[in-house]
Amino acid sequence: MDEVMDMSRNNSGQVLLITALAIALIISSLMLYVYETSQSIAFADQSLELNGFIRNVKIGSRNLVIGSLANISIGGENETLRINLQRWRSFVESHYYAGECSLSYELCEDSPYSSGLWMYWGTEGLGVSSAEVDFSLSLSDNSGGADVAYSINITTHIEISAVSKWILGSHLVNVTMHLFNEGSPALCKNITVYYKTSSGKWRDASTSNDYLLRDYGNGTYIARFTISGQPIVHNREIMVECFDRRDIFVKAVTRCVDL
Amino acid sequence: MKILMNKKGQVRTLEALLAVAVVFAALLLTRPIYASYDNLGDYDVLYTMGLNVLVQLDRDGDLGRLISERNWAEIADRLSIMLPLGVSFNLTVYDEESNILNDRPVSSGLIDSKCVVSIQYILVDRSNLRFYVIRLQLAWMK
Repeated sequence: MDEVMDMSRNNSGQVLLITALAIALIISSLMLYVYETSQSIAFADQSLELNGFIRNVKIGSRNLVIGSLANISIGGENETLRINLQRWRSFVESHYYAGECSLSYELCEDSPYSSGLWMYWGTEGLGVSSAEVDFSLSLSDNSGGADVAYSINITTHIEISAVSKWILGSHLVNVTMHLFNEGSPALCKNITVYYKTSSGKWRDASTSNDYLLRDYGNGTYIARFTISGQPIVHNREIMVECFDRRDIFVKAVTRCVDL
Repeated sequence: MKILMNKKGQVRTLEALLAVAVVFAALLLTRPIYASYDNLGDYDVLYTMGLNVLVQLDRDGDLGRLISERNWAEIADRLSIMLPLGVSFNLTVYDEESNILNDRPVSSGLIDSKCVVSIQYILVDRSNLRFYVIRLQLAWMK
């Protein structure tokens, strides 16, 4: 009986080691199993997400102002801008999950702007459709947060000039147009040239048989056409209506310089 | 007899230490698996890449237009062109009331990877001034 006890005591160390090996094996297997079967949805570094969100809101704000201006330029209510900004504010604030978010805006009131808008479709060859809004975004999260102020100015403007020459009972008209987005040359989506008849009505110049519109690809367009069968008109009025690539409408009126 | 008993005690202690060492060795050896599993660098790369792609698509208002046209195939095509090879994606579009808009998957196939990054992007459609939430999931292909 004592011998049996002795043997079991002598072997207890080996049993301990074998048990330890078994536990080690189980731990390793478990780790491998968890690794193989698991999949995690990860979220990037908080500061990266914070900066990403700020960038996202800035682009969204810009698109909102563009869309609102496009709407207003074709006859929408001026109040559209404020209503859309209010909607955008609520939307942004409710879609920031890392902490608290506050977006505020201020419509530009500096002359010539009024309620964030400046629509000037003049008779001196200049047409402007513009909106300006100042934003302030405040974010707070575990890493501290950020306060960002940014301004969005969307401006589409057109400059036109025209010359007219009376040849053999017809007016030969040349209209030069330059389109700009935020001061840089921009392309038109659609451009229409009108001339005023001797009876004071606007007529689409593209109905003229020899109407030619040349696109120089750099925001400059030249329209050439002949007005026949009408009496001579001095300093004939020309009107250009244009949609830029963002669907913002702008128009301008000028008088021809008679050559 | 006493000396023999003392030696036996030392052997027991050594055996116990050895057993503990074996268990700890197993824990230490499996640590690198978690180290590679929690590779945050990969997440940041995927996040930055995904956000840049969405910003590029949204810059001229194209993404909003494609969503309002429900042109999911075109969105999937553009994403697969703009994302590098080896990155799989899955995009879901929600409206302002959090309803899912895409009635078919906008993805490059199954996302079956250890590292999946989820990017949320809020979007304004210029044409009808509707707001959308986009969730883009990105992963390295196996």
